[in-house]
Parts: sequence; C-alpha cells; structure tokens
Amino acid sequence: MTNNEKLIHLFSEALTIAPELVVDSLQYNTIPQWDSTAHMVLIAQLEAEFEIMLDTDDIIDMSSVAKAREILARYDIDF
Amino acid sequence: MNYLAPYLHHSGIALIDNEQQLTFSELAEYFAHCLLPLQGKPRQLIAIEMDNSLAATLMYLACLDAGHVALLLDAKQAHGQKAATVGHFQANYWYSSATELALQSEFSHTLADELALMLATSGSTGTVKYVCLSLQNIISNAQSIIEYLEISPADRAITSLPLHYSYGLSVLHSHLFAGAKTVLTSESVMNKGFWALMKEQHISHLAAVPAQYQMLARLRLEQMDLPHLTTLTQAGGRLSDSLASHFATWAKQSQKRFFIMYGQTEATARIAYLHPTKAGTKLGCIGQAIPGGKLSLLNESGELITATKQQGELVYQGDNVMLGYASCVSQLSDFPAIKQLHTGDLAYLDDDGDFVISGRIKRIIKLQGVRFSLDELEQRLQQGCYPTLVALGEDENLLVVSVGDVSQQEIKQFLRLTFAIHPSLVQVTQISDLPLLSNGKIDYQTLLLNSKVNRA
Repeated sequence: MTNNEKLIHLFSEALTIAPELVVDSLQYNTIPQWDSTAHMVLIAQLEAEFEIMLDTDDIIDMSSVAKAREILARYDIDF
Repeated sequence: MNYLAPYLHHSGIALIDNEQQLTFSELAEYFAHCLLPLQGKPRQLIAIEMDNSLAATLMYLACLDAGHVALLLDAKQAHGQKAATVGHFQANYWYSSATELALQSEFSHTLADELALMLATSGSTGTVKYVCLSLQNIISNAQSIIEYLEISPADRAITSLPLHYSYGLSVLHSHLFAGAKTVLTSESVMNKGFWALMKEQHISHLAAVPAQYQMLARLRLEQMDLPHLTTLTQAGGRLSDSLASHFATWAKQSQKRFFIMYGQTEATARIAYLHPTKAGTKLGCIGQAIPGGKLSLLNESGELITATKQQGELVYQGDNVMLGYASCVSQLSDFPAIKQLHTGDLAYLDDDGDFVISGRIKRIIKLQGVRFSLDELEQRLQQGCYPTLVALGEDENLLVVSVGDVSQQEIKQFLRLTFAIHPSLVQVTQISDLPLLSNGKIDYQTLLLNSKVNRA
C-alpha cells in the first residue's frame, strides 16, 4: 500500500465512510461522520500507522484531507 | 416573579459568547425581552433547543426566572424526533435560536407548582421519559457544587459539554450562582477554536466526560500552556483506570485540582465527589456525598449496610433529588414525594469510609457521556439488524453478541447511523450458545465475564 492508499483507508475506517468519499476537499465537522470522536480515532490510527506522535497544534489543525496530507508531510511521510 | 434574582446579585460579566458579553446586572432586562411574547400568559411549558448559544441560554434562564417550565431538547437531534417530543408533552412554545419562540399549542396545562425543568433521561433510543426538577433542586445542587469546588467570582468556566445535558447544565448553574463567568461555545475539545477560547478567556475550570478525557490525553493536554486552568472535573460514567491515574499524576505535578465525581440527572447532576488529594490513589472510588447530601447502601432486603467491603445498592438523599419522572402530560401535575433516590448502582464502603462503585443493577451504559438502555439497544438491534443479537457491556464499551453468523460491518454501521455510536466503542463477538439463568433469562453477567476473558 502506498502512503496515500494508507491515508485513504484510515480516513475511511475512522469516519466509517466509503473510500471514494475521502477526497482532498473533505472537511472536519462538515459531515456527521467526521465528528470529534471520529477525529480522535483518526488521529490515533494515523499515529499508529505512520509511527509518529503528532503535536497538539497539528491535531487540531487537521481540518481536511488535504491538510492532513500537508501536516503528515512535515513528519517525513511522503505522498 | 423573578425567582432567580436572589442568586444573581453579582457584579461583572456573567455570560459571554464570541459576539457579546452580558453583565449580571443586565440579565434581568434580557430575560424580560426573551419572554415578551408570553406577557399576560399563565405558566407555560416551553421546549427549548438547548444549543450552547447565548440566545438559548438566556431563554432557558428567563423561563426559570419567570416560573415557566423549560423542557430541554438536544438541538442536534433530528427534527422529527424533536417535534415528536414537543407534541407528546403538548409544549405551548418551541424555541430554537433559528426560529425563536414559536407558538405550538394553547393547551392549558396543569403543572405542579414546583416543576421548573425537564431533562431527558437517555440518549437517542427514543424513549420519552423525562426527569422533572424544581428550582429548589437546581439551586441546592449548584450551592453544593460551589462549596466543594470552591467556585469564586474570579473563576471562568467554558461550556465544554452540551447544555441540555445535566452535567453541562450544572457547570453553568454553579458558576452563574457563584458570580463567576461562563464562556458559551459549541466548539468541541477536538477543535482549534475551543483551545483559542481556553487561552484567550483564561478558563479556570474544565469539565469533561470520559470520552473527552480520552481526547484530552490524545491532545496531550499536559503539554499545553494553560496557566489559568486550576480545576478539572470528570463525571458522566466511569473514567478508565489508566486515564484516571494519568490525569491525577499530571494534576499533582502541575498543581491543578482533579475532581472525579459521580452523579445522575435524577439528582439534578452531582451526588458525590472524590477529594482531589485522593485522585489516582483510589481507582473506581467516588468518595463522599456532596455537601448537604447523604449516601447509604442497602442490601437486597432493603436494610442499611454499615460494615465496610459489603456490596449494596447506592441510595442518595438530598434537596437535589428530582421531583419524579414524567412520560406523559398528565404526570406533570403532581409528584409524590421521593424519600431517597435508588441509583441502580452497586457500591461498597472502603476502609477510609469512601464509596467505591462496583457494578450496576440496571441494564444501562454510558457511551461518550450519553446514557443508553441496553434493553432498548438490544431490541432495536434485533429489529434493525439480526433477531439473534444481544447487547451488553460497560461504559464506553458496547458489546454486541451474536448467536451464529452476522456481518460485523452491518451492525456497526447500523449503530453509527441510528444512534451515532462510533464503531470504536462497539465490539461484536459470536458465540454458539447463550448462557441462561435458572429462570430462562439471559445471563448477561456471565456473558460479560466470558467476553472479558476472551479479550484478555
């Protein structure tokens, strides 16, 4: 699996939505499935999968799929 | 009548949202404005969509002040569900921040004199059973909370919890009546905006349920720069031992107070609290009754247990014990006195005289601070998914057991869509036979124990 495939899979699992719906423009709190609980589950899974520890600011800044990719890139995760 | 006036004689800012701030002395004027459409009317039953906005908060307080009865709705519920509740109780008005006060029914209610507030008993399983509270209940519980949390006018609270929920509401009441400031927001602790407010507004008290403590741990609260935060409180179900020790240790190191508390909507909100010096050292312990309240234990024959380490049902007495339940309009007229509240929780006394929760009599669990009846969940699962499903579990961990083959995915999706229960809180397991009690009923206790053994 590429990092991008992993990312889409993790979003799809944490938000309980189909992988096709995980697009760059998808934003936190704009669909009922991406609520605070799902966000926490997502962060836990991202940290485990990519073996990183996200800073608080990055956790609360991760407001879209595009933003997630941008933040993860700073932790040396290449897309 | 201005019933709240005696409790609002304070100076400074009472309520603030992102646009406006109101001082204590301005409140009365705003209350009057809220209730203009009701002028000259007798006591009305008013359903309020209690989002965490300033407008809804003022409407609620105005109702209490004028002696109307406020029925609080979860603003996030589906419109149909809210409409069903409004219709069921024949509410005279329906308030939402979008539509303001809308006349619903001219029904002439017979409302008990003491009745002031109605709160839902359970999450979203659809039962219309409400806890009915008096102003005396609200004031008494707020005063107990002010006393043991030592809330002063210098304190600042934030609405980290929804205000239609008894714990969230108790944070508002206790700070308001103590002359402290409450910052109103509907931002979640996982949102950037929430932490901006925590810092800008110098919040001193943060209230959270176990699910939020999980988020706070994930956010690494201990690394944040929050010098004004002095007090953390926890209620809404049992906090896991690991999170309890984590936050207790951190609180001690950073000179903050961490209160583990116990309560029920049936007692307005709070029943007991563990003194912060004991936090983390006595896991599962809820400490002592709040000031003015009394906790005791009863055995199966209803006799008082005085010895330590003997399990019994936890019962509570105090001025914050509700008037009673109401499931229909006719029950709003009269409430037979309740001597003591049977909590449905099992507990024992430890050697220090502190109460320790050891189990639950009623089939109820809390998920994300929301109370669910396992019997209702089980029924809905059987109707909506598979007729062979059985529901059990503990706080923050719903267990669905199936006899025979089922799709885990389908069950989790059903719970997600119907009750907004996140799949991470659900475990689905399969067994070949259900353990039964001698009376033929399902032996949930054995089932739960077996599932724990299997997981370990």
